[in-house]
Amino acid sequence: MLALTRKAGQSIIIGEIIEVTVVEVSGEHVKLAVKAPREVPIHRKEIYEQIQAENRAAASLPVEMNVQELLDLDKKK
Amino acid sequence: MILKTLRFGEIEIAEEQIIHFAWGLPGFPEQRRFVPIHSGSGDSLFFLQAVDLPDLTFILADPFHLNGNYVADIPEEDLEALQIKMPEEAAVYVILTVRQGGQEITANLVAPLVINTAKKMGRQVILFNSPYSARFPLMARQENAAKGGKAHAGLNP
Repeated sequence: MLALTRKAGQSIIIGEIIEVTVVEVSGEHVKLAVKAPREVPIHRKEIYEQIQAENRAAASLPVEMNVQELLDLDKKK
Repeated sequence: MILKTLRFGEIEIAEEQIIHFAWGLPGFPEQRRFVPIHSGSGDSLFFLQAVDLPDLTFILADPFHLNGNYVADIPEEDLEALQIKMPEEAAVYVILTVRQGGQEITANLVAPLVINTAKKMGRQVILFNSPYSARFPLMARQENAAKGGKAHAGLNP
């Protein structure tokens, strides 16, 4: 992993299309600004990891499980 | 085209049914193509089958049906990426997770799938600072059974 030292106001450029700027450093907090093409999703990692885990859990639906009952639930409403 | 799936066997689908997720889904970045499969009797629950991974199937639900107060406040950049300009161009679904062999079902209300229905483009959007849970409970059969009633599944918690 590449580690770079930057000051507030300085940036790094990733592959010419993504620019990450250190906006502010205050104690333990670093405020970053990311300039990237609109199609590039940008997420806070801990939230992204939670969604990854949730998707993996959702994907592990056993094939043998009868989901017809589940699919019929909304009919019962 | 013929699609090979673990859950449904070989099924025939049309190219234009395929929804393209340019960045895959979190946890499944390589899976870019999915097709909705309606096999139940209602419209508010259906399967989303990966075109290129036979054993990857999600169950999707209409979040507005699950929770009448649900508001999907989709970030502007996600709407731009999906080329959605008007609300009626978008469809919003959430992924259900079946746990403990069906004893527990939750809905991920934090990360809805947003689809441009005309252009067949999709993205799983993460709602930041949303009041919703990634594990919104839809049913708790054990609880109902413990009350002495017939095990009954309901979509409203």
